[in-house]
Amino acid sequence: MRRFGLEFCLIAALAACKSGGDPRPQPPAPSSAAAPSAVASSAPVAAPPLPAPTVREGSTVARSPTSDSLYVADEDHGCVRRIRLPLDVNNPVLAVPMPGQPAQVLALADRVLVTVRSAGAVAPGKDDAAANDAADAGTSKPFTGRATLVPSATGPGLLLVLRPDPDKGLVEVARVELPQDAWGLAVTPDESTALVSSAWTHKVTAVDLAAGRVRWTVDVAREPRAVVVRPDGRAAYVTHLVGAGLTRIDDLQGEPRVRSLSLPASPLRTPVGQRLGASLAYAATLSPDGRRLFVPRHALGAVGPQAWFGAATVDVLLTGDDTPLAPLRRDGPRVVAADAKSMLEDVAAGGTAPRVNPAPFAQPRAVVYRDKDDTLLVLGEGDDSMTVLDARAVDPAMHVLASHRVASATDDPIPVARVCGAPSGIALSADQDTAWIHCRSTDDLLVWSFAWSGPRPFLHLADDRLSDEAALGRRIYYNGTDPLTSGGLGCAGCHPEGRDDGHVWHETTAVGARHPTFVSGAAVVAMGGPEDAGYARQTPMLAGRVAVEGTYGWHAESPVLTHRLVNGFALHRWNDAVTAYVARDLFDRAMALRAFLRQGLVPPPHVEGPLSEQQRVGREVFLSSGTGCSGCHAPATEYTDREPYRLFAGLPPPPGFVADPESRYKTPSLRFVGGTPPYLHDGRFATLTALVQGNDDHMGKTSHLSATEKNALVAFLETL
Amino acid sequence: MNKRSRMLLAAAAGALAVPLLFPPATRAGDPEPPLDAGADADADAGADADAGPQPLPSYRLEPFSEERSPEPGAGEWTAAPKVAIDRSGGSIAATDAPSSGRCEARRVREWMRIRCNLITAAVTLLGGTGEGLRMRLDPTPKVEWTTFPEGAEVVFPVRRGDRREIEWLGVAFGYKGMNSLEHMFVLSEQWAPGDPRPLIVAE
Repeated sequence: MRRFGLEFCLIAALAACKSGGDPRPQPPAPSSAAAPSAVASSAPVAAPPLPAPTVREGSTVARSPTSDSLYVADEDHGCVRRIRLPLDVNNPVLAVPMPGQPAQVLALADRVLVTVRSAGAVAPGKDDAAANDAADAGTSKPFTGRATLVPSATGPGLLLVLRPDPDKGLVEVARVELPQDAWGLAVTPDESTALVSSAWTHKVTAVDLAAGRVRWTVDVAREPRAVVVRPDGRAAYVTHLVGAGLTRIDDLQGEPRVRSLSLPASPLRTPVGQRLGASLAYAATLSPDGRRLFVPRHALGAVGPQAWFGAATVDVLLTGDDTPLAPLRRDGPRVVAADAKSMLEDVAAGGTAPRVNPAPFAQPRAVVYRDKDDTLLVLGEGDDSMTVLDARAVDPAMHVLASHRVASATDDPIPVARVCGAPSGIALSADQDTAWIHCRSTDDLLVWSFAWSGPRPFLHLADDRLSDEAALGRRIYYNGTDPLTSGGLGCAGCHPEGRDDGHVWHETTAVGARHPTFVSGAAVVAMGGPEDAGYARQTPMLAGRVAVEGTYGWHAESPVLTHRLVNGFALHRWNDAVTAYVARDLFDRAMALRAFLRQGLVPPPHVEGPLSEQQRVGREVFLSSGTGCSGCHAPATEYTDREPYRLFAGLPPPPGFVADPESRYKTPSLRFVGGTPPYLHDGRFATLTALVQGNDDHMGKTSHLSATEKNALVAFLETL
Repeated sequence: MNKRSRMLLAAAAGALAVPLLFPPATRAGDPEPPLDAGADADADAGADADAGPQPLPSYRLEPFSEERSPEPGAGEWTAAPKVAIDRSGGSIAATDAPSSGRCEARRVREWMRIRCNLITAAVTLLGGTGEGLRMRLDPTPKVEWTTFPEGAEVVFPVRRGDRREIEWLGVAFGYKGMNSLEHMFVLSEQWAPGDPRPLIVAE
């Protein structure tokens, strides 16, 4: 068994796509008693003669229908890995380079489909940023400052159709260009049509797989991610990383019809009379009969014990009539023991909200339906978990059957996973007794047997391509369990992929010994009434916006980025300051995060090319002294001068918030501003057009502009 | 220790399972009680005392009628046999063993009764229809060492279109009366339009 463990690691070293692997001989593994016996048991044996469950949705890991291979879409190494089944140390892992960063993979009987976010994009790392790594090595050097460390991709999204090949792993047979940031993937039941979501460009495209061409492309709401096709093949559902709604597309083979669906987020945790926002709907799955669609995500503003960030939820749509299964919360009726009445008034403990754990998992990232026992397996990126939920419940997230921590080997003193961190994809064996889990922050493949509870074998696919410091930052960024950096939700919970959740948070005021904190909904603000509803804080995007040195924070209160990060450690939790840690603990984490934010986060794609006439006019307006836009939004430094200015002073705050007595706000970066609604620091403008129309000379001078010039200004801003 | 060595050690570290609030009688991956074990299985339990605990018959053994009947009386509940719901996570009895849960389910016509002999602080309808729903706490015992009811029950009809979630709260006793509410389980009942049958689970 020891040999197996060692050889697995050597395979991993050889499997790195580019420079990630280190093939040097390694010392022997620990004693055989602790070695992963499941690896031995998974040495070549006949595959069980069970029909494979039909999988028609992509993930970061996919099993071939014949159960002879696994495929892993390794976005951070720019390749798809083929792993032979049954797992055997004599079968090397093949890394097939992709023409960009792959997002999802789906294995059909004779083809493997892969989405590539943008053609030509190179995963950040050692190969292309060696100089940067050298410049930033160590934890005490100041950042040397490069305007953009990770460039925006400029190529189109791709759907690759590949043929399994025994020697090469996969051979490309077709390539279809798609809108940029191609991500989610599904096929119709007859496997004639693939549907692909393009996240940043908010499109869904149907691809005729036989002809290898685009059948249609439609515009949908912001950040479409998972695509699920109904069993009858007539319609598809699309989830969104931002917002609580879904999109349904009908007539997939003909003229597509798009409509929005309402699916309330965590209705049973919703304050009575309200509707919640949602985020992180990366994944969705149907019940085997197709009658229920399950959408794991994060409910913003949900109530419960210490639910400062909301709640993890799995919302269920009845596909018969596209209505939500769960009813909205009602405040009773209830029966209460006399001595329990005061306990129900304890708002910090949850008040009259459901007391069942609001965070059975953190940052849902993937889901599968295990039909042999009607359970849902949800991967939690933030708590490195696989949670088993009862799919027969009205609100599955309230019905936890088991919680498994998939990570192990945490760093000391920073307790983030070294093995199986940030699980991001899952595939089941044909008999559903084994799950293969791809863990993104450590690039491992975990083998999880449901019939065995001992140590879990894993396959390390490749070392991180980032510097050691940035690689640690990556693991911290996803992690929501380190008690210093987070109170239960990782950076990626609000800044998924370095983007934003589209939510306006409440920054509560400091009262007495209480430190200011962020909460996701006014009803969760525990300590006071409406006067303590907090200041409005619209989540800012990070990717591509934090490379420049200078002030950070809402009011430019932080002289450098690391200072802001340390402040964030205190803000993002339930009402207690970070007091039990020495400065070094804070500093090391902040430095690692800074390295990852600048070296590892991939900015959204960008369209290259000359400006249109309207955009050119808009640029002139933007740069003109008459408007003064570029005086603060300096183009040379990410369109910000990082200085604070008094803005919209004297106007009432948005409903549900209190006025911030400090009205000077730091100039935000405008990079990618076209894709990050809502706008202004308090999210009061739903669109860029509304912002320009409603600016009323609060920022620069725009009142004198004609309607044409305002439209042109918006058109230019959308190109940044 | 280098990176890869740490990784090897990690393989041996294993994974942690978070214990459930209740010791699970059925866990994910374990066999479910047979849906149609039925009265025969129940009778067999009495006939063969050495056979060990027998699964309770499913509450769905008899189809649910579309007709609405009045809420059963106390005598009817007493006479009704215990039944198993679709999944209980250990909170509601799934077998006839005396140790199988401190809660039990019984059915009379379209009516279900869930009763728990546990110290109970509150029972709340979180959402869904309240029509026909009756929740009751047992009287608080007149003894000096407890001030909470030691049992509670919920009665509700099972009808098409239903969906409801009901939370059971107990008490976590702390030092010198520093008590707090403690989540025990949530009962879920649904009969969604078009579904051939209802679903009742509690975890």
